[in-house]
Amino acid sequence: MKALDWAVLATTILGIVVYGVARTRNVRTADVYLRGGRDQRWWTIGLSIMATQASAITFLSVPGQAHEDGMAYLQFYFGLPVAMVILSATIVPLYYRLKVYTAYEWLERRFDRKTRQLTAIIFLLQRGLAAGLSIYAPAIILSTVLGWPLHFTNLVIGFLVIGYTVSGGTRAVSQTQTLQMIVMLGGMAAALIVAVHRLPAGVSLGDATALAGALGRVNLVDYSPRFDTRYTFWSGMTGGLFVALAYFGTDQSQVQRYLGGSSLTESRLGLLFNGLLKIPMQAFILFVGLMVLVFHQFKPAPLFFNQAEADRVLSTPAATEWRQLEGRYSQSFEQRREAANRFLAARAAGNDTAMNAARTELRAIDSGARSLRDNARKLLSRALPGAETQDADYVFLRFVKEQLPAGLVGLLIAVIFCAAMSATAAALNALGSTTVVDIYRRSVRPDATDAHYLLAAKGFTIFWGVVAMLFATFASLVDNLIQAVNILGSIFYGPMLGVFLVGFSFKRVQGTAAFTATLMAQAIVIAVMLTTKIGFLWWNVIGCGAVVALATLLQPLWTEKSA
Amino acid sequence: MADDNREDEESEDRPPIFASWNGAYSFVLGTLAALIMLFSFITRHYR
Repeated sequence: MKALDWAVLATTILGIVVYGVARTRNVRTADVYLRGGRDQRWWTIGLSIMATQASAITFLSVPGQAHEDGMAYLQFYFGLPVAMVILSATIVPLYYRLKVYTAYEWLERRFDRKTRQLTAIIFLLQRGLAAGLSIYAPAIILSTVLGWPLHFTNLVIGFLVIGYTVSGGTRAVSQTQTLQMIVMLGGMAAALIVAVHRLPAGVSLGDATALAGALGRVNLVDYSPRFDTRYTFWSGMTGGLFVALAYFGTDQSQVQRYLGGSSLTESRLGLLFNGLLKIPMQAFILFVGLMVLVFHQFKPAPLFFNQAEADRVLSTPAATEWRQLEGRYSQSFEQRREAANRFLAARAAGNDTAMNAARTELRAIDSGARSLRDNARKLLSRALPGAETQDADYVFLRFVKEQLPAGLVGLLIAVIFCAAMSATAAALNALGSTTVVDIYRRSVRPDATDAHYLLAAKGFTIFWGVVAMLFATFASLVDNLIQAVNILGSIFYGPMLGVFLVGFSFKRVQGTAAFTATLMAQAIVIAVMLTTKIGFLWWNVIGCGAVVALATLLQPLWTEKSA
Repeated sequence: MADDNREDEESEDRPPIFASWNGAYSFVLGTLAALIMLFSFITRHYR
């Protein structure tokens, strides 16, 4: 990083933190700390909702996923707009009518205290772990760029976020997220422009997209009804819908964003704003990754994108074999470049036969290159047991470091930072709120003063910040980060959504049946995860369906007992 | 923690531009359908 990069990075990050603290330094009541004073307009809510979901992982892993597997991941979001409509029409008015601080409060009014606290604990467990991953993702960036120890970087990011979240609560989170979203989208647009600009002369955006298509990566929609394929239209419209309903309807880190609206109308509009813009935004980020892939058809890419691990292999007896793989990968690149040029020449000439021949050749060479990368991962694993063998999260970072001009590198690092801070701040804010509202005030200190609850909310926010930092220390054990977060969510979201659905739609079901069904459904989802190959998006459907089925089946047992 | 006051909020709850919330919801779902059709076309075109 050059001095200009440092200046851009420091100005952006510190500017946002100072802005957040300065604008919200007068938070003196627990209500304002937890709900942000209820003065947010719809665009602030919408941007805040989007920033909460768009963690640093989004900006690291999503371009990497497009580079490796194409744009199929976009289908994960197909159910989201439908979920925004359903929630806007049903659950948001309900939360407003009942004047709740957290989503789980409603479950006590509908069922009983144990059901409320079970779901609150499930949320704390899941979101506490996910917050750790939100810190870890940018930490690997800074550690790679600056050569800092990973644990030290975790601490720096963690303390920065804890600082303004504890200072201003919900209002600080929403205010800073608006600025962070602007920085994030601006930075990614700059990266896209550079990626396209760095393509060889004469290769247009249309050519680049056609080349990505020839490599089989423009795979936006897949209608094949396969349960073992992670991302299809069907899994997106069902599993993705369930994830979005659960995440935006029952996850306090999102519920807290729209409960801060100045009116019911503003909150509903904020959700619909997200429903309109989320898919285009994800498509845009995936497209950036696709352009990096096309760039690598003309400029050599490394055999393995995590340079630190590649360097470590070279100091082992496997170094010779690694060098051979690198040599074969370089040869494969030359073949790929020639085939890419042939494809583009045929496209320019409108020669379909030559285009098809070049496409077949490109895919064969690409398949060979993927095999070489697989072999490199296996070799890495043999030479360095326990080493990180997944490098998709490093693809975009490597491109930023090596190809972007001075100043823009700093801006893109700031993007990663902003994303990490926005997601982590929302998570810590929600974790602190849920702990104080659903557990502490409900079961430990029900009659304390407002000042006491304000202090408790701040204390629990710090506590969860420390837990997240500790978890971040161990997060390097997982592979692709965004999948890890989605998989983690899918373990818990199905039963969580199920108990809310039962509450809404099955008036006959009471507390004990709902509580027991939720516990059993959670066990079923974990069993499915451990014993089957069913894609993780389907776990949401299974978990939700299991709660509904079990609660309705079990309810007669308690009805008979009480009769 | 202070309790808040949200009386009559739902009766005043009207979306801008659209005559009703159903109109706003239809717009969001229509945009989704249009995007999926566009993505299907792009996928087929660049296959």
